[in-house]
Amino acid sequence: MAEVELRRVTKRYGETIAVSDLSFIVQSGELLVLLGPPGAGKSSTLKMVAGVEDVTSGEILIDGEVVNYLDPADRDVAMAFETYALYPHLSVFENIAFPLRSPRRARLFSEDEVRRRVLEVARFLEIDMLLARKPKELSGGQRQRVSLARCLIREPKVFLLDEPIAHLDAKLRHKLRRELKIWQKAKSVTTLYTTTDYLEAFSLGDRIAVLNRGMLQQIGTWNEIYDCPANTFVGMVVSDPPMNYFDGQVHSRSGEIGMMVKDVFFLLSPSVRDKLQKASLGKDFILGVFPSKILLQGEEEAKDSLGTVVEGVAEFVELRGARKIVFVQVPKGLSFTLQLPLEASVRLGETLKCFFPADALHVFDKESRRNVLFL
Amino acid sequence: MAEVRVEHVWKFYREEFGLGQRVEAVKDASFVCHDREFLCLLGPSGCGKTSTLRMIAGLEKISKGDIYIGGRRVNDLPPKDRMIAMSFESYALYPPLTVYENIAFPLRARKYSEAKIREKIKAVTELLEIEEILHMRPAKLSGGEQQRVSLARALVREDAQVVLMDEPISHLDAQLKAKLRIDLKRIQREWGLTVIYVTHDQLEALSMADKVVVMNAGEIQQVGTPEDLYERPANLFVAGFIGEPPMNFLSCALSQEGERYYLVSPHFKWAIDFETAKKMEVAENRKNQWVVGIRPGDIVIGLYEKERYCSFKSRVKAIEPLGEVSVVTVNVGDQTLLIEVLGLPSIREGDSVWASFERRKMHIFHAETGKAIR
Repeated sequence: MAEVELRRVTKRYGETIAVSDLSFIVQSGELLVLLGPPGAGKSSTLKMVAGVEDVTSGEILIDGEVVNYLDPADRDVAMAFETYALYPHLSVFENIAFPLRSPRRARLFSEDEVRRRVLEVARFLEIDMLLARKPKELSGGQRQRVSLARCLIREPKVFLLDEPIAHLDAKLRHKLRRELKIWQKAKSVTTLYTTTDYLEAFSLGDRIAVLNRGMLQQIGTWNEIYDCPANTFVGMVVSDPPMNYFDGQVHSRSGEIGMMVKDVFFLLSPSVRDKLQKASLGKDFILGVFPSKILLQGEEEAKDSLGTVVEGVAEFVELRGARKIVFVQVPKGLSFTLQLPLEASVRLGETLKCFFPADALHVFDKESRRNVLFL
Repeated sequence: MAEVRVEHVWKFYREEFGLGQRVEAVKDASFVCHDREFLCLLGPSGCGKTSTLRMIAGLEKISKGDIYIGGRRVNDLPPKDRMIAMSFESYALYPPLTVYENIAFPLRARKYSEAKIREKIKAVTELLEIEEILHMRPAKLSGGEQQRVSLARALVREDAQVVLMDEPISHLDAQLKAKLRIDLKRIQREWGLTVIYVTHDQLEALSMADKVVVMNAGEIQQVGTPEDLYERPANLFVAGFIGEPPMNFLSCALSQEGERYYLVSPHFKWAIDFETAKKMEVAENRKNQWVVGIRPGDIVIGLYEKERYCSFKSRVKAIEPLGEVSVVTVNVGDQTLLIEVLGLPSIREGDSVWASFERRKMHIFHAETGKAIR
């Protein structure tokens, strides 16, 4: 159990800035997910904590101790690399057992104990039938699980998991997503975990740090982020389909402040209205709403809440298991996606009355693209 | 574009190290992909979906059976004469050519005018967001970019009867994948393409396909629309493979008390209607072993037993928040069930709760044959 802290950490490769002035604390036993697209700086951050990459500036602390100049081996961290880095001449069993056999720990584990631990982690990752094979006899997904097993077999101060299940089949990935969380909680090892998949982040992370171009966009629990995305980038990466955005202006109608998009006047929540006030009248802003928050009128929730009804035509319907994604086109040029339960019957070309609840609408500054509640 | 018909097709491989036994990669596969239809071959790795596609493409010999493209039997035609466009998992781009020239290649081979080539490439590269790499060579591109170039090259072909794709977006990140799923479907509709698409990802299949062919261990399990597969799975394999989180399964037996029929186990006793019970009785099941399937989204959690619902008592093991929904893992005896609820439930790990679902949401399967009772 250890706390990990990054203080204004920057990483440059020549001219390229991979990580820019990054600061956060991972609490002892916490699982923090770094979420962002490829190139966001997630892997570079992990490698700096592991000690396999130098820090250009700033400090990394493990348990209050600055580790910038410590060798990877002296940091007591275990990392699963995206590139697997397995020993080709060793069997899967020996690859997984390797960390337990390193000279520093040799006396700690009996052969029986090594066997027990290898079997435990191999069963968990469903590779127990592959233990006798060599890495070259494995598929990409199997190698990735061996690499993860080799990491999980230890109980270090910190786990560093770099997209550890990204290359597995969807079915197994979703299953392991659920089980990794149970495993991590049981061992309560402080963990930094990277992914490009927001569902993986929501599912696993005690908190989530959203990164883009090396910069921290927002950090918080999934509901903090989902309830109030800090900027338009965050709104885009934490929802699939992404948040709907509309360009519009702040207007006042019978004393009420709202957003005018094309010729639709959207009612806003009191907290957003307070933030905008009169000074913003006539100015350009961006309105954002998650597809899952738009309701079809007639749905129970819509009855007594404040909001705006927009009529549009269902252009396209996509089935996603228990949900349907509907692409709606409003005659005046507005278009958006909304998400409905499977039972909802929507026909192509049908006119839908869509209800935009006021408290689900986010307003972003046109220039900085930041949520006005964060300004 | 044209119709593709696969009729009783088999693929055998001779096993290299075994005792000369043949491996049956595809067993008696039959399906039709209609003109302008988007058909997905879906299944886990090794299920025979890629072998099937490669036989349609002409990259593998058909061991037995026939394949027709546009009414013409193509068994003995080489790939180039089958009028198909392909985008496969390995990108097969020409290394000395720029991205632009790679995409233009099939068009130049067919003597398109420069203006027409430019117009086609503009449309497809905008769609796939690769306008900015048109001057680069494949070696300089990331895997995801190469995959998109390969996809673009397949999509520009106007003379193709059918477009064949093997996991064309599997190497892309989640965000881009989500976008391309929608765009691919759009372009397929707007351009009126006939597409046969291989994937292991049920979400890709459900969201894009007009028709899905589910395969496992070389055999077709079910052919149907995404709604069919989701709402009326033909067997345990399809039921477990389609849907995320996957369907829950509980073992039970059928019992009769007077005029009434029940599904019973140590953890529950649920009444079922007479009609269903009769169907179960005629399905030969001497061991009386059945499996009840319930989708995670069809179960509700409460502190009390819900009247007129099928209910069971369970203990909360984990709660997984996924944005607008959460997945709750519960234990019933030694079995684990997943329940999908809206928002974040006000329960904690270790709580004892009642899980309930409507009887009509229940799927019943023969435990031995796996077949659904309908």
